[in-house]
Amino acid sequence: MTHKAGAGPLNTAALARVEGEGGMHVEVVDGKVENVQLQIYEPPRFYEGFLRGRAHTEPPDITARICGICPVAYQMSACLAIEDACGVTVTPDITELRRLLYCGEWIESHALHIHLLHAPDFFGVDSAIDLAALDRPAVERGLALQRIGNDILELVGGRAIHPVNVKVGGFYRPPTIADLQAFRPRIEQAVELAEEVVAWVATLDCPEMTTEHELVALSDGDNYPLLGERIISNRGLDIDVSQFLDHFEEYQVEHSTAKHAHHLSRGNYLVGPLARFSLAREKLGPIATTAADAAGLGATCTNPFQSIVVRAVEMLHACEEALRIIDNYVRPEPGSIAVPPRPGTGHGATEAPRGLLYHRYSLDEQGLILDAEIIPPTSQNQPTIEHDLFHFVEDNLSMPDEELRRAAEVTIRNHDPCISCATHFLDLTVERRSGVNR
Amino acid sequence: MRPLVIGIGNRWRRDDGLGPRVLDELSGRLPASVELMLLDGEPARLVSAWRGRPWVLVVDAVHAGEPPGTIHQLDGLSLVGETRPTASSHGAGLHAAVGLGRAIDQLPEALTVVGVEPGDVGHGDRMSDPVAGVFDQVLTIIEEEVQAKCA
Repeated sequence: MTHKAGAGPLNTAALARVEGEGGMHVEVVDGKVENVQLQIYEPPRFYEGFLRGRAHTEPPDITARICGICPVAYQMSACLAIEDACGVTVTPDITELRRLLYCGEWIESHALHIHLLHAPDFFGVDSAIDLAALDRPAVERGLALQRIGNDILELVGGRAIHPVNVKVGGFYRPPTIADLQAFRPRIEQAVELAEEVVAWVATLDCPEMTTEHELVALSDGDNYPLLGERIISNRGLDIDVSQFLDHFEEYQVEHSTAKHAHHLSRGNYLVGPLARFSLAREKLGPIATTAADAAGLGATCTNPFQSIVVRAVEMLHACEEALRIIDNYVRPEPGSIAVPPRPGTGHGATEAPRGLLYHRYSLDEQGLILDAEIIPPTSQNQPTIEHDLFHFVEDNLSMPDEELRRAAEVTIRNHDPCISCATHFLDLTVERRSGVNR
Repeated sequence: MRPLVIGIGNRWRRDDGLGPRVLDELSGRLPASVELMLLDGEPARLVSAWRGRPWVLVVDAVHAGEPPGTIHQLDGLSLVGETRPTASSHGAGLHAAVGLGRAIDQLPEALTVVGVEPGDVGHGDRMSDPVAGVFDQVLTIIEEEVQAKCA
């Protein structure tokens, strides 16, 4: 990990956690953009490799380490995939508690992204520090929400960073009804704060832009998608999670250590808040629905800049959902169910704050992992982000490089990729040359 | 509120594991009035952890262009709070956290930073020789700081 001068707005808070660097390379030939590559230099981490030979009970704890902001997503997808491989379905009470834990992660992650990373772009400032000078109550409100999300993670997960209370089959120690009721006033406060955030971001001036990509998200019955068994899209896709790899493929590219993914026949697609909202708006809670209406969101939302509004609506939904779960909470007894190993393959997918996260594990008869595959939302969105960048650069080629870099970062931040966390800064190189010399 | 010692870092990234390892060693060795907390350096979490505290010590791997194993000890409140990462190995984390805390008046009353210049932050669970070589010294510095501040 190195630190270099010339850092721009990407050097805001949430970048602090992960080692890695990235860059964007633009090739311009005879005044036309030929190629845009988003490059990630982080060395491969080989999680899928070193999961091989580990016990089937270990993936929730191991894969939680992949990300400091969304460890619950990794834990939940891992649990679902292992339980699927072993032919076990957990009780509805355990599923509800999982949803509550996940709500904590959504609240924390969305509060961070909205206030520390995304909102400064709309105010034309570099960071939340500068934003605080313009609108201190907004930043304080964001941090208050982040704390409440964090505290849900601690209450249900044992600790906020890489929770320790999650296991295959359920929880080591589910919280008591009294634990959750004592926390209820904080969630009530979170609902109010999140309503204010939606109203606040609705006033931001969002540039016009429409993403044309296929929108893909989980379908979670009558619920707004968090956990689910089917994957749907706005182009008619409706498949079981176990069919994911029949339709989507992860692949390597030369210019980045981060993998890319595409739909096998239709190419680039988009996962995350815009996809979830556009495919499941009617499943938002009543308070979030009212707030979305008041914020002017239509039946779908395909403007990446408006993702800040959608994230705020999702954060409000997560607060509302947490309240619902607490009020209906039945402490799982026992806290987990046995998941005896058996040979086979299992699939699991959940909705990380950034989008669909898919896990697949193959186990032997002792439950040792033979093979693992993890496809995070950032891999899935990366070709789409490059595509958006290509057109953005094409339309704005006359900008000076520094201005172009800052504007390109905004385009990237719209999608909240983990690379924005894994990347200390965006190192832009623009290669302008004549085709004659090729 | 109680004084707090925060360890920042990732124990699976060699010298970046300084903070967590220091917490391992200090557990049970400091007065009960002092709280220990492991954080990942994310600024909002730092601000939430330290706001309202009388004194906070942060231990972290710190890049300042000195040879590996160099110990840095500084007044955290003197950090300028800009978003450019110049010291902490966690990018803008500590600087941004101080800036953010200052902007919304959520800094501790006193903030001490103890850091060690890393030699290797690649994958692995062992600290490099230069950092491992000063590890005990870092513990002593922190214990003395705690004694001075919490006596």
